[in-house]
Amino acid sequence: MENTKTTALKISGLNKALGKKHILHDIDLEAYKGEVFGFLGPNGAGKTTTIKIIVGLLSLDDGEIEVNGFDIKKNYEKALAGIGGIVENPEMYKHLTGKQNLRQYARMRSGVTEERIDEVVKLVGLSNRINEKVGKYSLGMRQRLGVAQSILHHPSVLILDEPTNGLDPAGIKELRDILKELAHKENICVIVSSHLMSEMELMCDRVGIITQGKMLGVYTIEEMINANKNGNLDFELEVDNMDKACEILTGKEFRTDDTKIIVSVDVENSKALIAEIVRDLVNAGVSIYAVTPKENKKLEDVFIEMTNSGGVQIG
Amino acid sequence: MAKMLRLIQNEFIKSFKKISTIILFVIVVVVGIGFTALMYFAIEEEKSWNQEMYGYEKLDYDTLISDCEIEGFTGYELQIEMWEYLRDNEIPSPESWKYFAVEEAFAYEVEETVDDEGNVKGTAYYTYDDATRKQMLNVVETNDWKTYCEYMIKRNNAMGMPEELNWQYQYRLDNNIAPPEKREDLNDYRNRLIFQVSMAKEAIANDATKEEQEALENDIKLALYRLDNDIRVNVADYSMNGDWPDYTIWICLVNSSMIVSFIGLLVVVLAGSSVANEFSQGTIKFLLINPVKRWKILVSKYITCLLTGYALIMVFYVATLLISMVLFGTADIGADYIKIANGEIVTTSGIVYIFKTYMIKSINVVVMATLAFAISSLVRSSGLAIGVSVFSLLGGNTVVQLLAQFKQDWARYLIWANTDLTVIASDGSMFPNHSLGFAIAVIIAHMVVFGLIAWDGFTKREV
Repeated sequence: MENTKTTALKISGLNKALGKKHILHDIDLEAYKGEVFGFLGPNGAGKTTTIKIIVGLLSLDDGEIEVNGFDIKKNYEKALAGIGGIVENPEMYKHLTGKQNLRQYARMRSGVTEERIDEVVKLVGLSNRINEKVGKYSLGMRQRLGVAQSILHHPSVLILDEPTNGLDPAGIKELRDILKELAHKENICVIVSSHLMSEMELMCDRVGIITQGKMLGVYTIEEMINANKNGNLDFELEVDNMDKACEILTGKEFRTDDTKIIVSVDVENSKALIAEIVRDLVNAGVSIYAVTPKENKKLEDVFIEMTNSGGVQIG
Repeated sequence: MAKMLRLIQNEFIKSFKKISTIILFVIVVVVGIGFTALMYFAIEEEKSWNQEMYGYEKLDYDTLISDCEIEGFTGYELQIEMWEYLRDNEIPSPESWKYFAVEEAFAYEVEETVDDEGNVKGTAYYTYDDATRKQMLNVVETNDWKTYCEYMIKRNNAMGMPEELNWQYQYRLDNNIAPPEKREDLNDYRNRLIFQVSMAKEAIANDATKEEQEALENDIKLALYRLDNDIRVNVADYSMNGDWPDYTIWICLVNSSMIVSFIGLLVVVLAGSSVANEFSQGTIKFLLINPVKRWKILVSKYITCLLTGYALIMVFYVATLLISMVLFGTADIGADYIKIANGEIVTTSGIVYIFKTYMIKSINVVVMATLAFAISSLVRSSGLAIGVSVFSLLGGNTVVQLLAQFKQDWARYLIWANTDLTVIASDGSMFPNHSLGFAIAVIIAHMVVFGLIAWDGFTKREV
């Protein structure tokens, strides 16, 4: 991420009710060019509603949305010109070819040349199949076409609602790479919503968490992980003599299960600290079979902890 | 503006890449061909039927003669003489001028005398002197219709008949137009027009009201205009109700305008599905995500629907025109539509006139398509939109007719009472004092309401 952050999307005080149900409460959010911003929340939290409001599919009751400084209410066409997106399923005109579909969107946006269409098609890897009717496309291909559609006009903000839905693992990885490249190389603000937390961890720079129509907060990935594990890193030790090892480790932070000892060391200085512990044990005559760093806490676990503390009712 | 054109281009591409749209055009061409062929066969059928049963009345002189013999009335010998003369000179029909000439020659009167015993005795004798009778028989035999006409003028004058009766004889003499003799002469447009003028003149002289008089004078003016300019076909003579002067291509073309309502059904299907299909296919989201205000998308769809509708009407017109030119021949295709407006002769090319009729009929189609469009952008359901609009198109007129019969005057504010402008312009409306201006106002009011419904429904809709 650049040092100087340029705001691409700014949402302030967004409220929305559908019928009598108040869906969004005072949503505030700011996303910058060059980052992948994850919009994370369980089903029914209001992710899709927020996204639909940003791309103009739903009206907003209260609050402001600015894209590149253009207010979406006062300057609809200019604000929308800075946005590209896929909302829910990538449904396109099945009786047209992929290219004819893209031309449809090109005509509705300014400055999209035929060369740009070819370039985008190449980027999403559809060059070989672009002249086939979309009715013959698989879901993955339609998803790629959707991405192609969304970046045709060089948007500053690219919004993808649940983009990995229905994709196979290879497709997910490819999409992830495309999005990262777009954000980091082309300096686009990519906003991705998902309820799959593990996905977010792999592609996002920052994550905003939403439950029950309220923003819980916005965190960088590191912040989230560190915030929840008290700054410690765990190592598993397998030794021949558990009792003796415990005796030596007295005064250090550790716990045991049946066959292993788990020691916690400060993340800041973890390598030096674990080396010291190993040396102490060896000097005391304890044989060590294995030292394994425990995996980092997954974003998923963090997410569940965070949203649960807010009292989430999935539904 | 350029943006709007690009949106319309988009809509056209979406629409015309669909097989269903192409099928609509195929249907219209097939209907055009089918309609023309049906008209052609119907007309051929009527032609032959007409030849056998109607028109030229043929008398059976032998039967008439034997009837005379049986009845034996006073002067029957003279009557028989006439029948025999007609039979022998092969004058089969009382519609021939020669028949009248022979009638003149053999006209007889009966004088009754009462003798001393009180018995009534009738004596028959020829009305005219021998010279006159001879002259009449002579004109028949030498085919000298001019002398016959001159004779009729003289005779009418002598009898003190009104001048109007002589007009046709004088006109024929002046313009060298023989009176009808054979069957085909009756179909000659000049004889028809002369007949029409002399009937009108008689009617004016008799008991025509002031209004009727004006109409009759217009008829005379028009007929004389055609006679003077040798105009055989006037497209205005071919009405939709089957009252045709002769059998030309124009019967087919004039009647073809009723197919416009059928094309209306197809346009309603297009209009009803235009917005609704985007929802059912799920493509609406990608459509509205673009940096284009929603009303622009709506307007582009509406314009595309109407343009497609008019394209369908044009395709039908051209198909019908071409096929009917093949079937009926091109002899009369250059004919004009001639009418009198404010006492002046106005001529329009027949092809242009038919096109205008199509356009006036299309108003109804536009109104119903707008209704379909409004409903479909309101309820997301193409089925409902198409259903309601088709019902409107087909059933609305019936409903208004019923209401008019039950003297429900408010029904004049309903759209269906106002869409057939041709009927209203010719004072044919079911409601009293129904002016063209009123009808147009009602149409515009409805269009505005439909437009606002569509606008509001589409721009505020949460997708």
